[in-house]
Amino acid sequence: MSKQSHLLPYAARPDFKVGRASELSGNDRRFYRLLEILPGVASWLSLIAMVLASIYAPFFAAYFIIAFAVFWVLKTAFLSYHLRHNWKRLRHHMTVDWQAMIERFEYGHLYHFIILPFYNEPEEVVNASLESLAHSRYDHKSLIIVLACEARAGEGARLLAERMKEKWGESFGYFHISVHPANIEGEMAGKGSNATWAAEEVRRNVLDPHGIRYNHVLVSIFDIDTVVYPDYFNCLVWHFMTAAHPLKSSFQPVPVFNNNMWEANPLARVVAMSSTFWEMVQQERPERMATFSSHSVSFQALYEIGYWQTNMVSEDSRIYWNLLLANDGQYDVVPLSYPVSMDANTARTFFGTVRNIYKQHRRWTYGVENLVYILFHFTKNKTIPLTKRISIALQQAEGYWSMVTNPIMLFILGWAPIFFGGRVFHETVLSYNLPIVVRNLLIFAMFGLVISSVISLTMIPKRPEHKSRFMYGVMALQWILVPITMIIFSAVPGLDAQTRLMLGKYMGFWVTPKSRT
Amino acid sequence: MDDSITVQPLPYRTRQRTFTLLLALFLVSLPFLYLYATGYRFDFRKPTTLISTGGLYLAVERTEAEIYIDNELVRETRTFRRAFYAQNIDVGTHRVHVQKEGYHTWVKELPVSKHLVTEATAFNMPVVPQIRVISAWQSATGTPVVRTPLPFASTTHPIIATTTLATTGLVVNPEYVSLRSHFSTTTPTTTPTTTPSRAVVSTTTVPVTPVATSTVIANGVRLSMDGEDLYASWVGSFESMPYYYCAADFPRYEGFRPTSTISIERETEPEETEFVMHPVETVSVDDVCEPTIRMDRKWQEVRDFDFFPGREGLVIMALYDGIYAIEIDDRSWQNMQPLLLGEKLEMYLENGNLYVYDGNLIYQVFFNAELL
Repeated sequence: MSKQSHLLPYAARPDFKVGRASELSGNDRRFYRLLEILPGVASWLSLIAMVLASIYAPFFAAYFIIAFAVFWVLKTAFLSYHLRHNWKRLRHHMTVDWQAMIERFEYGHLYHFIILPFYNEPEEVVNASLESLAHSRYDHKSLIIVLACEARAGEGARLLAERMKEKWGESFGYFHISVHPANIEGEMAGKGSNATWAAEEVRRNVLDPHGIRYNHVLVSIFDIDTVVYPDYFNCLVWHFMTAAHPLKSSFQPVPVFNNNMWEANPLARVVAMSSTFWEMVQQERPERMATFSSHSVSFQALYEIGYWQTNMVSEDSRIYWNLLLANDGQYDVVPLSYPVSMDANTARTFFGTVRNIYKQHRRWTYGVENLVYILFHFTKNKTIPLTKRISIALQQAEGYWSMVTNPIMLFILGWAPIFFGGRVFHETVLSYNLPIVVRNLLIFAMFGLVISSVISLTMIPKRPEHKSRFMYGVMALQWILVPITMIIFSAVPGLDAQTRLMLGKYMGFWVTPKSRT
Repeated sequence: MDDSITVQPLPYRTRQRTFTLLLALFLVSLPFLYLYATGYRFDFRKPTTLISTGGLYLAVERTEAEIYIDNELVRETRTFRRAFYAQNIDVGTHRVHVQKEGYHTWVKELPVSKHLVTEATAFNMPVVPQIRVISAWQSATGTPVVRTPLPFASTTHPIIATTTLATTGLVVNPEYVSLRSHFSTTTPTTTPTTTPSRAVVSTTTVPVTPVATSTVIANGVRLSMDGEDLYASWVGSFESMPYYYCAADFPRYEGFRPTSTISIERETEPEETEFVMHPVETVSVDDVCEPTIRMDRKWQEVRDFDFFPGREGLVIMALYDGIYAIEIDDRSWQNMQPLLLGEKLEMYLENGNLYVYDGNLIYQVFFNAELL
């Protein structure tokens, strides 16, 4: 039996796991390179066009800005509507007795294979993740834990893993330590390559020897700082059992960055919560969802496509696109509306935090490489209905374009006609009313921040004793930082990432520093 | 266990309906916003009629000044609100005045054109001149000593009034000596090394009637004498030229009945508005226009002139009967407010400070009553 016989037909293509244009040849290479250039060009052209329009066609630019501001207000309202609904769903799901809910199913045959890739994170972070798993409300004998360390992290990482195994090993059915070798040809050092190594090790050393069937295993790939809530696996099992196509579905929880919420600075909190809110909105639009960060998927589905890609950065989203393409479009993401807790980005100093958040978001927004991948393969996999390919392509393209350009256009370039518009424009009522109209519309849109503020206060963990009640006020008011964070930690790193891709300066995987005070 | 215990995601149809509703709202609201932003308003007497309006933008230097448009109070200025933008102004000529207790009132009639904003800058000088006396002699503690009192001005700086000519016990005031050399001189002046060139004053030892400076240029404006008249000419770029240069003529203010709103009932029916999305330019770069304004000198000889410190569009002129601040903007008229009255006064500006010499004493004139 060949090494690739377990792969789905489309997954067996040599270009299935392409990471960048240089891995292809001929026309495919040129086409892929063109696609890599496209997002950056589109974003830069939009921004430059705004400036040029302000100079040479200020009236048109002014009308466009007003229309854009109205669009923004309505989009905010639209997304807030989704957010509120998912908030209610999330809160309700936190109260449901999921263990009782799954009692009617035969689920004793299911295993949960939890992969925890780590690099050089501190022991308390790793320990907290394992502790939460040990305290989850599920039969621990069905939990297979893999601490996936990196050889390049040195002996310290392996020793830490050994200590954790000694402490927690008996709490689970299986506790495995994998060591991902360094410098494997064709691999990019990162979570994807580490997780793939770990998955294959467990398959050979745990699943196969014990006769555990792949379609009975649910893989949860968690960031090392992920702390699961007690009913996570019960909730996961319920959704697995009730999914239309459980073996052709990924299961996405809501990442909340609560582990160190009270210790993080306001910027980090706002950015983290904004990411949570975005994921909550997406949970109400499952047809638009891709996987993100910590999530779960059946081992069989993973095995059929050869696990995660080892040659690119945003493996958490890429795995979904791999699965979608390999299954000819017949693949879903099931939103769990149930949280997993992670760390907000912190550092010892304020500017250290700013730098870390920027770099983390630049890595996240480098997910635009997935748009390139999708567009490339949508021209190859014609089995997927054309309407679905077009719809997905447009949604993804719009998402990456608007994330980068919209905040800049709205909060900065919205004033460009006033500065560049010229004498004739400056003496018009339109020129005077433009900032007033835009300002009023943005104030209207900012009412959405009130909703965000209220929702965020209901989602933060209990206040530690040593933190003053005054912090609640800070938590509520910090949302006025949103216009700043949208530009500095979303639009600018996004533009940075797209520009790097456009120029062929490919990014590597950057490990987000974790710490607990 | 009943699965309905879980909360379902938003149904696709519900999301679609919501999206459609918001899209409709977008399409419906946009034209109204465009019309509003451009200066169109609905005539509520005839709901289907659009009225074209314009705007007024007024910059005021004083806080706690009252701005009136057509005799209706529209704004009291504050520290961070010293400019005022009024929209929904009917097309036509409007009377604007800015007043503050203790200051001269600035009044102007300004034209408002459809979809355009008329800009103006007000200024208000103290009614009672605020001065600091600089005398030739001062006490040992530095207090100026003057022979005559000052009924025409106000100062809170201490002075010693005396009726004697004796200078025993007094000290020569070095500031006076330094400043004196800049006035109708018995010593030659040198051309300043900075800013505008000035006419060299006569170097004879006989005091002479000061000759008005011939040309001063600053911030794109050139002040120059032509015969007996003083002219302000715009020499900067067209893009930054103030609108009052080359402003078209407009009718006088006819007087509207004041109401509670700026956009008030008109005595005549409004014209049917031709729908214009893009307003018409008032002055095109291609139009022939001589951006030169003659300064109103009240038929007096201009003894000296310069730009008002820190204020574009405002000039200080020394006329026969006093020193005046006068605006270049000649729409309807040029506001002229006295800084210090007196015959044959001489003026000198240094570092933004105005000094006036009456032949005996030198006065530093302040422009703000609250400073003293």
